Amino acid sequence: MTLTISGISHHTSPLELREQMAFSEEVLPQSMQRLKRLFPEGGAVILSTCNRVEVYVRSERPAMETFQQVRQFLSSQHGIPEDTFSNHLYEYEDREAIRHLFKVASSLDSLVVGEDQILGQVHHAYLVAQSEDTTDKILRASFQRAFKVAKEVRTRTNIGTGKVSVSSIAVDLAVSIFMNLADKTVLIIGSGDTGELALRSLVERGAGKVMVANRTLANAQELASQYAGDALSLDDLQSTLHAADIIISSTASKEPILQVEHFQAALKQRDRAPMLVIDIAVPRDIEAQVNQLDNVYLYDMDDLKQVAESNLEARLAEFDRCLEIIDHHVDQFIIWRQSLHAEPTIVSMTQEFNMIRERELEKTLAMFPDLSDAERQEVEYLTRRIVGGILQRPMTQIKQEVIRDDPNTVLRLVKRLFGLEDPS
Amino acid sequence: MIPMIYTVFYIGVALHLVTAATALAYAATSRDARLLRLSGHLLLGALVAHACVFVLRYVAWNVVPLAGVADSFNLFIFLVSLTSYAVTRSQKRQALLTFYTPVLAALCLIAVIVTARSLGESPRALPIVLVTIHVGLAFLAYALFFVASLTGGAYAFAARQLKRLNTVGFAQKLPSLENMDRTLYLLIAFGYPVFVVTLVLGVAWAWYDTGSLTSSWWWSPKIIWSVVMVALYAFSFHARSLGLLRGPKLAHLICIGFGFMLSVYLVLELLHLLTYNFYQEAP
Repeated sequence: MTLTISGISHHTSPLELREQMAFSEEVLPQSMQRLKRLFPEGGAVILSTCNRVEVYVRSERPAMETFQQVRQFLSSQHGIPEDTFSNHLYEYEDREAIRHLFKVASSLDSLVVGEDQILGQVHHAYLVAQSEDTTDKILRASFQRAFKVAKEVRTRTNIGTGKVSVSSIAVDLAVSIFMNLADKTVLIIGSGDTGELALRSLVERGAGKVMVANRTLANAQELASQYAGDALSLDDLQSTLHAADIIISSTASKEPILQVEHFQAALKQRDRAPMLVIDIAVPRDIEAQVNQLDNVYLYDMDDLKQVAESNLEARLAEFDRCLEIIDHHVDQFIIWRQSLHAEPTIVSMTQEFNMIRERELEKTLAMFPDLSDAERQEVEYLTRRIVGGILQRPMTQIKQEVIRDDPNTVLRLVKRLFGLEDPS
Repeated sequence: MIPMIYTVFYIGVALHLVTAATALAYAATSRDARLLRLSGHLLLGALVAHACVFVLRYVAWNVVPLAGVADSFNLFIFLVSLTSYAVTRSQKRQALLTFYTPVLAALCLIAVIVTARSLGESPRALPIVLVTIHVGLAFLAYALFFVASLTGGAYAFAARQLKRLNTVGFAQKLPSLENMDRTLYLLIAFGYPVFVVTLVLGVAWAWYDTGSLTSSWWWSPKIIWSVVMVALYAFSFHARSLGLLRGPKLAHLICIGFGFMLSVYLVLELLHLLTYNFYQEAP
């Protein structure tokens, strides 16, 4: 019942190698099918993201043999010699494999610890494996437990709080200031990838209206049209500033384009409703003193970097707590898996007892031909209850013993005791 | 009945202490939102306990227990709890419990030290329904202003943290600034007219009782204090409505203003300058 993981990740390999070994969406289902054919007694799941390629296999073979077969599979699948990647490969079995899966799903192994994309990616890999029918009971239980653990880690710790990218920090700041983004207007000044990313995040989060200001009106119109927003030139900026609740500025201007007095006037016009201003231009577009005004929350690039760093620090501070939760679940999972060893023995033990019961019942009933159907049923029910009562305690004990002790020794003894197999 | 009153009272106090401990545990760890939900449920329990004390005292002596230090305190704690509970019913505002409940717990401890002994004594009866309404509304207004000042404190804290780029931990769990600003405004918007009605009823009763309102009455400390308080909240309410005052300045005004008014009230109370003899002994 070995569960193994063979993989490479951003921790162990360069991007070039990860690119070579990645499984595209198109080949993923067939690759899982191929692996399943290699391990028909178990199953396989492939997780392929930009930061990792991992092969999860459940088989009845020794771990070393499984690792070797997976290496050969990866080599033939991608057409690269084993030597190219074997030094970058990590291989875990059983407890360590489960622990690694839980860590990956909980985003503790991610490049940006605490990011939330990885859980979706693990879920996607699992769904593909499910639809291709390449999983088995243990793999299904491992992944389902991993999702549960990831959820618990996220809700019981601060690993996912505090964002680390400019766009998500902008959204977090907006949510800290405004009750509802649907009735808010975002004004983006200038162009730039970071600014546009922040704008997109805010719109995805529900920001109601978009205004785009640019030195070249045509550029403003082009971007505004993507968000059904309004375009304006930089000359109109001061007169429309009051209408914006969130301002993202990233022009190439050498001098600040908005000063304290502009914001004072805007605040007066908007009844001093708060404004969030994100200035990602270097040199800055907004005069730094604007932050001294009440109800204006101004953040420049250095501020955002500082927020990102402190958020990341806060996430890392939660690392040990997350590991505690993960280790607790790993222990529970191992116990559950150990108890599965007893299942076939319990089934054959029940069958053996029922065989004896049915044989003896038949003999007894033959001695009393005058019994009515109801009486016969009552007698049969009685025998079932007796057998059930006799088996209940040994079955519980066997499950507990295989968890505590070596399952093979315990099960061999049980089989000998009840004559479930030939002692020789 | 008296042992039952004490039992229920101490259950209420205990619930308030546990409520505060739970909310503070959340503030310290800012992790498990279940702590906040538990705190909300416990607050409801404490609220019910205080209501029961009120009802039991009424049943025991057949007098509406609003006057006297013990009953005033119990009523005030009940109304502050009720307002806090109403405000934090929304999940988005639940984190405000971390500001409300420790203060409520402190009020309860003061109530235990200062007033608990009087709970076994007969309440002081108020002469007419007008005065009963006057006292009830006055405490409702105080409770609304008190919770507004705590909300103002939370707003000032959150705004400061945002300006200081402290975006992780507890500060991030508080409601948005806009939400707290709106809550603050609504509390004043309810409290201000209630307080004005209270004053009108008070004047009406004084006129009814004495037949005329002398200049010494108008210049008594209580009336001056009340007028200053009305002025403070009238200014806050109208300035916020017109958009002249909003955000941190309003939060500070409400917070410091209430603190100042409370301090003056306590000093006047200690000097026995606020007491009116509208009590009558219970039958």
